[in-house]
Amino acid sequence: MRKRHTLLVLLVLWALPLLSSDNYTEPDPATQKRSAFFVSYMKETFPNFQLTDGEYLFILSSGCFRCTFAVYNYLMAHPETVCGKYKAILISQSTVDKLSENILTIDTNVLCDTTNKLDRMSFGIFGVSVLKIQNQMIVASKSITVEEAQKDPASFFAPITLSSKTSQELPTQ
Amino acid sequence: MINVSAQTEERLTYPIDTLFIPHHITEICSYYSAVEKTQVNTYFFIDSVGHAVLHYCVNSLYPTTSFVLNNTFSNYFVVDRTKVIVRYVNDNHLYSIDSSSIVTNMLEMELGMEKEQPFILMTKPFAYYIPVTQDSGLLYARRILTSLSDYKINKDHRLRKFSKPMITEFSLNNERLTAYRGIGHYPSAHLSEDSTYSHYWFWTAMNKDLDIVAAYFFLDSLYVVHRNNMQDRYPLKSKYQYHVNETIDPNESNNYNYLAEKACESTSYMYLRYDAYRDLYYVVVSKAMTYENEDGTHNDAADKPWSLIVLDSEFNQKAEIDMPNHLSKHELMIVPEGLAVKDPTLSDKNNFCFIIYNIEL
Repeated sequence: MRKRHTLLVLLVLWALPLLSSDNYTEPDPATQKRSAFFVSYMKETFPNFQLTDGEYLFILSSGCFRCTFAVYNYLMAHPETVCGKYKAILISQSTVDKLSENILTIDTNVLCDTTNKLDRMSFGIFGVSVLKIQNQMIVASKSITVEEAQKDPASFFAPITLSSKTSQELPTQ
Repeated sequence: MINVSAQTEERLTYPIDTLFIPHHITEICSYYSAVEKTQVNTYFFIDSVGHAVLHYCVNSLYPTTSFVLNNTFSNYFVVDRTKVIVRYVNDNHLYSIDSSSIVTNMLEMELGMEKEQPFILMTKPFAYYIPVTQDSGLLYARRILTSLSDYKINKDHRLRKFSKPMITEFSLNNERLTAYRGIGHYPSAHLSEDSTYSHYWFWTAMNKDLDIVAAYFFLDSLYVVHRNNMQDRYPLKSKYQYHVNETIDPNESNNYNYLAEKACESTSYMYLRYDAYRDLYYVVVSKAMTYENEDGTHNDAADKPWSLIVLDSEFNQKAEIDMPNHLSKHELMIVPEGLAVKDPTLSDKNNFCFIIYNIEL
């Protein structure tokens, strides 16, 4: 009986990695590269920030700036849309200058890049965007569309579900 | 085309002077004015009380006259040194403003058959609408292409729009601006089934014969619309363009990363200028560069290295001059001594430095 139990435990221990590897998809090289860029950028620019799993909101100068401005106005009127929902809100000083310093008060976790390197980083996103991070890897991303910015900004800030059609789902663990 | 060696190019163009404009200037235009019968440069800056000031400079970088405009204007059309026509935000009327910045007239606008085709009165220098009047009081405006993203995904819409003339001619008197006729036609590439480009609009210049010359970002031709509405096409080809520019994937037309990467990695033609002093045309070649760098940063298409194609009065390409990369290809003006190019390294927020390059063939 004891032998059988031991055998069963061994069998389970042997099978577990196999089961999990069935679900494992190697991230594509572009995602791996962008994830590495992101991790390294965060370490270098915000050395005191502890990178953890979750969603990160970006307000970038790239893309449709009118859309970004529309979202900024929306968020200033409805800060609860983003409050407490993101691990950090990232923005560069030059984007702050274009919008207003008020954006820095939208939540307690706004990280402002005074070097403006953020706007030159190749994370595969533009304008108002979200990256979902798991195990230091980008697992999903989305950037706001013109239609969302103008008609329904609130819906953009719904959490990314990995089956969501609106986000760009990235193959990962 | 005549191939010019690097050594010869040095003789063609070299710095001869440095000029400072004591403002942060924007919306730079440089064009031949049929009214002044010479070169005019115009630009804007915001004054200390927040008004937009338009400097109108004849044969110079410095103002002959100035117009102070309420900052809420949406677009404008410089008629001559005494008059500018302005349209304000949320106001469909046109106002004629004199150089004392007094509104002298409110103009009616009659679009007639042009109603279906929205237009913009001058003048964003990036698109470089035609800011010129003729002696007979005619004005020209590039037809604005509304809903550009729609053009990229809606083929029928695009083909219908590009089947119409590209420029609207207006007659102007003290009471009204009247759409008179449409002239010029779009390149056949715009009408082909799979011609999805990032940009469809064109750069324009008018020469002393009042021909309207047009250049497009991704097409290696110049298009010349004559007064009789006949149109000619001339080759325009940079030595740095190694392959035909690809069209874009219509499904990615709202993906700014994709568009930024395409813009960076394509050779493009920009800022067509006519130099009335030397009877030459200049076209900026924005050379292709890698979008993504090894360190995770990406480059900006605005910073691409550049050269300057020089064409003679018959549209023959005579030289392509490599320009120093620290100079801005986006801020070019023409003065009697040569080509004025902004040097950002010698400029600050409120003081723009222009290097004057001698250009001779």
